[in-house]
Amino acid sequence: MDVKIKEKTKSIFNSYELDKNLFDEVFSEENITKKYYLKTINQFSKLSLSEYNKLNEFAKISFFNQGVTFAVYSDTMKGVERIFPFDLVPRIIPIKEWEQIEKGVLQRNQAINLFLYDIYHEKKILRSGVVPPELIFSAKFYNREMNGFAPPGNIYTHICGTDIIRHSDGHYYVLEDNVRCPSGVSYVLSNRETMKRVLPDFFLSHPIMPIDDYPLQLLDIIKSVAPEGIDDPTCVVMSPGMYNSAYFEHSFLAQSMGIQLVEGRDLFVDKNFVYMNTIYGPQRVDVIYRRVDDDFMDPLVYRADSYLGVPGIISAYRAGNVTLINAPGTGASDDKAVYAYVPDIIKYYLGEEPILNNVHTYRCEKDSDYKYVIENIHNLVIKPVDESGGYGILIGTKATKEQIAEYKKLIAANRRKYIAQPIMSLSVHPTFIEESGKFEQRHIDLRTFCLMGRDKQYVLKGGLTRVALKKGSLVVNSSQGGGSKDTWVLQK
Amino acid sequence: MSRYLERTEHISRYIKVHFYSALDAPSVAGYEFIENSILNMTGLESEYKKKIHKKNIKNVNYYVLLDETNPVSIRNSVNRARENARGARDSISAEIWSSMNKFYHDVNRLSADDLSNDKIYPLTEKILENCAVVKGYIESTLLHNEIWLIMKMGMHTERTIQVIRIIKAKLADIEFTRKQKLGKPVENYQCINMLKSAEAFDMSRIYYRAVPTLSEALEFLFFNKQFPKSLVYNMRHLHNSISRITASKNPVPGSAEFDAGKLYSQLNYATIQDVEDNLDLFLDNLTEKIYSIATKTEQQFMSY
Repeated sequence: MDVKIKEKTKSIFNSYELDKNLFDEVFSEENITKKYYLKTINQFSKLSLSEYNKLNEFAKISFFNQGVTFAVYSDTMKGVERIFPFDLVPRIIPIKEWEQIEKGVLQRNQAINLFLYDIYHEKKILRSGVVPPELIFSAKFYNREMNGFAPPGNIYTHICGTDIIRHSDGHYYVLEDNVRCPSGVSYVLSNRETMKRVLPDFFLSHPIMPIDDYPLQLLDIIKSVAPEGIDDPTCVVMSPGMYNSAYFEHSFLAQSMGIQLVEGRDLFVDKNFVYMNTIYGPQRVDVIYRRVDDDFMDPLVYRADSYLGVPGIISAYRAGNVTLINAPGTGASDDKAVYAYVPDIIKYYLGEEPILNNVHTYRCEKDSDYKYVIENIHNLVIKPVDESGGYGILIGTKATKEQIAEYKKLIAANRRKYIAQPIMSLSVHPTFIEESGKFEQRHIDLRTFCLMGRDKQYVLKGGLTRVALKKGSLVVNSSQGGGSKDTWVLQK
Repeated sequence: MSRYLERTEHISRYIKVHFYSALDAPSVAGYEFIENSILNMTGLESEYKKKIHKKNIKNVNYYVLLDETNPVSIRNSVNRARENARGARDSISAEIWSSMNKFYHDVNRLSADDLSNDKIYPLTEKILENCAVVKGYIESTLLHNEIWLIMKMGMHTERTIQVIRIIKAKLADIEFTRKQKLGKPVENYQCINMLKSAEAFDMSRIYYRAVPTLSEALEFLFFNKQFPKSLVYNMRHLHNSISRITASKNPVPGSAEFDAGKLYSQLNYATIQDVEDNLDLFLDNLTEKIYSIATKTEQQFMSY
């Protein structure tokens, strides 16, 4: 049941304009608040605009002081630090909805993991015709080095970031499963820390499920897949370095797990074992949570021009002397054309119906799909299969004639590289816009974080709610002007 | 002065850690639990009951932090620290005095309005920051002579006492969670809060390459020779400070120096296995001995 919020002359939501064609997470129609948001909205409504602004400023200071920043490269190559835009009004997910999301995310990760084992071993799913073999063998991130090799516990996707949206029909849909190096969890934890500092009273009145056990769970997962025979593994986080835009996250995770942060140049391989240099001499490393892409991990196997990796590390990995988190080659399953087959993959390996919906996907490689896409491009979103961060996307309804013509050419030149999907109307959430000084509807999505180890699974309660801050924009990625919100899963 | 500062620092941190961790903690670790824990750690439970009728987090925070009728409130501790500094202005640096004086005025300006839930974090942060500034000046602007050594003695004595208080309060909380059968996650949460209250969480995690178990956490806080909040570290430095003042080659049995050396040696050669079956007795004995050493140092060095 939705309940009308208390009218207040100067409520900060009074000027909130509701577009009824969009699914609003908080209000079902003007001034009618959804039940599970009622307490929160009433508490915010007690604030004046200037009080809200003050809290907003306090939150920014908190982020700065915590060092929750990302680097923006300038001409002088000196990194300038900026904070990610953050909105104080949290996104709430009712427990019943969350339970479905959690089950669905686990189901997908389990199936993807079995799929990865299969495509690098017997390839049964390809032989049975459920997934076209050419799709996998032509995937940019299909990694031939992984053929015939089974990582410890047969786990490939130790960390999976599944992106979920709520469409205007009110149902949740999965947009993609990020299984290479999904990022963003440090912002989830920092957002929560800031919210606790800025709005402690809200926490007193809401039974919010804790998230601060994530680093401990991650360390447990990482340790659980250490090479055979290692009881007390030495684990490290491997970063491309402090000028990488996600360096904050790399250092945050290392610090919060209590393990070393290393770069490729700190490591070396000797007789197929990986060591790190320390002031007391070489120390063997057993598990590497690497935030370096496959291509850059080993110049002897992948890109010879990489200075970020460690020569010989893949050989050590294949010898079972070190574990890499996530396993190389996982990118074969987050190719956006492979995504279309995830529901079939779930049915094939688990014998279950998918819990979470997939968005219908047109593979331009298929003649019938290609024809449909070219004829309906103005109503579709076009995505390259191997990009991330929201890059290379064309949203048909917002594209100019010239852009559409250009994309038609691009697709025709490389049909395997593109997929198309109906434009999903991401749900909207009241978000404070500093320029207008009021709350406005902005599109949001949710990145969940699912961990999988030897006999262990874990899903972070909530995740990262990303906000497209530009009016009408559907692109929530932080690299393209997105912000974030704290995500609350309320206990029963 | 340094004893008052040390007490102020540890109590403020205890409140900060517990207040904020409770906000999205497992539901059983709610505010009533935290109120009891703060009063237990500060040893103010019975006094509070006598004076304040309604127990809630705001009243508890006020009593512990600002209440002038509570002789060991933070307000009174900072006031006494400033009085100590004022009485010794000729011997300390201008930097110590002005930072201590500023600290005093900052705390003196605080009222009950500053204890609303949204202000506890900045308030405790500010107190901790002020403590760090004054202690930084003590370290970097004084001659490292007997005045500095006396300050160090006070600091190590009080730090030992406060860390013992933290451990005892958290062991009581853990015992409660066990009795209530609240499960391992809640017990781990209490253990993490114990480490955080002594600023030991990050270093212990690095030392053990995992989140420490309760036994490891206690081992770290009791016997880690490199961690500046551990009992053994503080006893070593307390003994060292006294020895440097007395410069005696043969300390007299029963003197502060002798007792501090004896206690340091006992801790230096003890293991967690030696004490963990009878933690209460171990901590009570230790507290008694520390207080006795503190009394003796006062008699030896202050009552001349």
